[in-house]
Amino acid sequence: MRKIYLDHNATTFVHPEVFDEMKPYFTEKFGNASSIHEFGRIAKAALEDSRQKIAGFLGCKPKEIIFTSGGTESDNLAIKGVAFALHKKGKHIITSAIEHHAVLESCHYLEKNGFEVTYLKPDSSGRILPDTLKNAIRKDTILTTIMHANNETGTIQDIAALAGIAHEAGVAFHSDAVQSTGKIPYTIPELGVDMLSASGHKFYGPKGVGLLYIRENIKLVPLNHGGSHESNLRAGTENVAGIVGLAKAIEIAYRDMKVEYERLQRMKDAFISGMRSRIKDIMVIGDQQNCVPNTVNVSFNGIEGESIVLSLDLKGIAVSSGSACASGSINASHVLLAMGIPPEQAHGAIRFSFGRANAESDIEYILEILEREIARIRGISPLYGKA
Amino acid sequence: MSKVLVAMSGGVDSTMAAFLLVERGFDVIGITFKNFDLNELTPRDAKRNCCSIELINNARQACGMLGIPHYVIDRTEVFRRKVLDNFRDSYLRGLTPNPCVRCNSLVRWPELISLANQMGADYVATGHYARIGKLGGENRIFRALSAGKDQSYALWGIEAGYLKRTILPIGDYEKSDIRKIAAQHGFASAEQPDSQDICFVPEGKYSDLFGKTTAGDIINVKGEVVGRHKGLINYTIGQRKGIGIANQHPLYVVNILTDQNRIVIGNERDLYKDRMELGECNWFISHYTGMILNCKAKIRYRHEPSDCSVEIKGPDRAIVDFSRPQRAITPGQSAVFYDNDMVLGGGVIVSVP
Repeated sequence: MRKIYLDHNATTFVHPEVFDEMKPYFTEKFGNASSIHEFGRIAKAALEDSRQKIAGFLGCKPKEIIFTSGGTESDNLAIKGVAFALHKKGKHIITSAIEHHAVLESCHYLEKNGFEVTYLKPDSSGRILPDTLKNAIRKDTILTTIMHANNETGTIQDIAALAGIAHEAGVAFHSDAVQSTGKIPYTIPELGVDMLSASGHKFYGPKGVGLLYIRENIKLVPLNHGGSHESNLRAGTENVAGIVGLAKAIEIAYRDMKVEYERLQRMKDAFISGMRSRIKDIMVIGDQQNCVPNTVNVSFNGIEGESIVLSLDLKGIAVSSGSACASGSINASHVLLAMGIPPEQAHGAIRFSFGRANAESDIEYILEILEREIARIRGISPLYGKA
Repeated sequence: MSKVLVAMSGGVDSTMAAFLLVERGFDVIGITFKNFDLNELTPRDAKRNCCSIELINNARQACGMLGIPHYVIDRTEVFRRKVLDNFRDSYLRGLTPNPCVRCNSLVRWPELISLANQMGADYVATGHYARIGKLGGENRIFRALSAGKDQSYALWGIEAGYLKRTILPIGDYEKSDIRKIAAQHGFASAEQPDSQDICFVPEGKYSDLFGKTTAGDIINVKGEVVGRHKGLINYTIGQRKGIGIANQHPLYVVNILTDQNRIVIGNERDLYKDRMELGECNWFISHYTGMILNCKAKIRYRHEPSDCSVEIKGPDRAIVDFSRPQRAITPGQSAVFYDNDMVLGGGVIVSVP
């Protein structure tokens, strides 16, 4: 059976150039970057070269980047790290209701430990309006954390404007950029953030490696204690092979950005217009003017997202719906519900996320299978067409 | 090739049901229902129950070994509405409910059939020890070959129409054989102990599900107050332990008077009754109001089927008279009717007049 992977926002394959770059660091260049001898020095050089390379693309200083195990750790470190460092100054944090669980659960944890958190509601297209943030800032606000691009809808926030508002009030600003990094060309100075999280496996790097950008003057308390790795902010022997892979992945992403961006946007446009002409009663969710080029979130009226995901999987097409919990079951999306999408429509929503595993010539095949499966499922749905 | 959905709890029985279907050449898909979140129900953590991550992972791993797809399907909402709420409510009304029966009738089968429709599957299957056989061209439920393990009692409420799409692959096997096959093929669940408890109360402490309960009087069969009870949910008919009244002969709970918040205690012989009224009946045979049926009835999971005559009183009501009085007929439990090995139907015991 032909297999089509349309879940690049969940994870991506490792780019062959990235894999090649990493290989020596598993075998002959295996040293511990903290060791004094030549083996260690080789690893340390690779670590610092990677940091410098990444800083070059993101437009920040190398020492402002620390390596982590991925997006979740970066988010935890940024949010809890600042909260613990500034708790004497204030105990109020602002975030949005559409964040990834890594952010939301970090905030819930802080709420249980004496902090107050405000969850900003987006408008119906999924954007957080600057005034919404302005009105939520209080005297005791110490941190604002708002994601760059949303994992489910692809909607991009105006981070520069939001960070500007936070800074006017003297509040630190963090952004989870896990879903934008490698997909859209940004630099840290353009965004104006104080902290930013990114993760390697969302843009053809390996799993288990990510980064946190921390502006020089931002103080935070480490969560890992041990050696003095990563400027005393993240104890633990560095994952050198992974970090080398992360740097290579960023290099490739910025190198190919224009071509890949345009290719994905063409595929997305063809996919959306194909769906609109072939499948009735659909709703494309999110702000299409401000969206990463690879993500399409669509609600198919009258049917459950769950049946679509399962049926497409059995036809070899991998998509996702809502967010998966530890058991792997599908729950209704908190993102769509926060946007004010009615629960019936949120339940019928599917996320298609395109990427390098797809060719433009796949679109016709995907549309054919999708049209057939949606018609079949609607045919047996007690909810469809009987309202 | 026929496509079949198998409900997989992660335990050895349903894992082997999937295995046997793969061996028979079916196109098999594993489904694990997540029916509740144990952390929400009983904060004390218990690993072994059918919705724990560990068991879900067992099911997933087994499907990996079988090379078949596996999906976890969240049915927390419908399970809460149709099983959990009824379970709580029944206990509060002094009944002794049978949640596995309600789950099979109102959640597991309807949800499996609906998923099968959505996914284009022909059949559904489970790891119950019972068999599907034919009578006059129609599918019926029969007792398992392994008499000691028979679970047909828990299946009486399944909509009759679903039986033509149901396969029960392990009903022809002994439990020991199922374990042996699992071990031979390297399935982790081969070693797992049998589950004894209700899945959502893994340590058997269902009182955790209730808040404070109201104490009340214990009376004897003559109506005299002889003590105090700790809340109706702690008692079931036939119970001897935990009554807390000293007597030279053993004392048993013989009745629960919900509207008076009282329990009645008596001697062993006070437990024997020969008549019961049923509600929520479901029949696999053709039937009509006024019909009298002579058959055997089973009034709890471990009960020797006993001769009775059943008078059908309406679409879902019946009155049963036993040839000989039966011990501890318990409202809330199921009564299931058999003609030899074949399940005729069943109902929920409403009262024991």
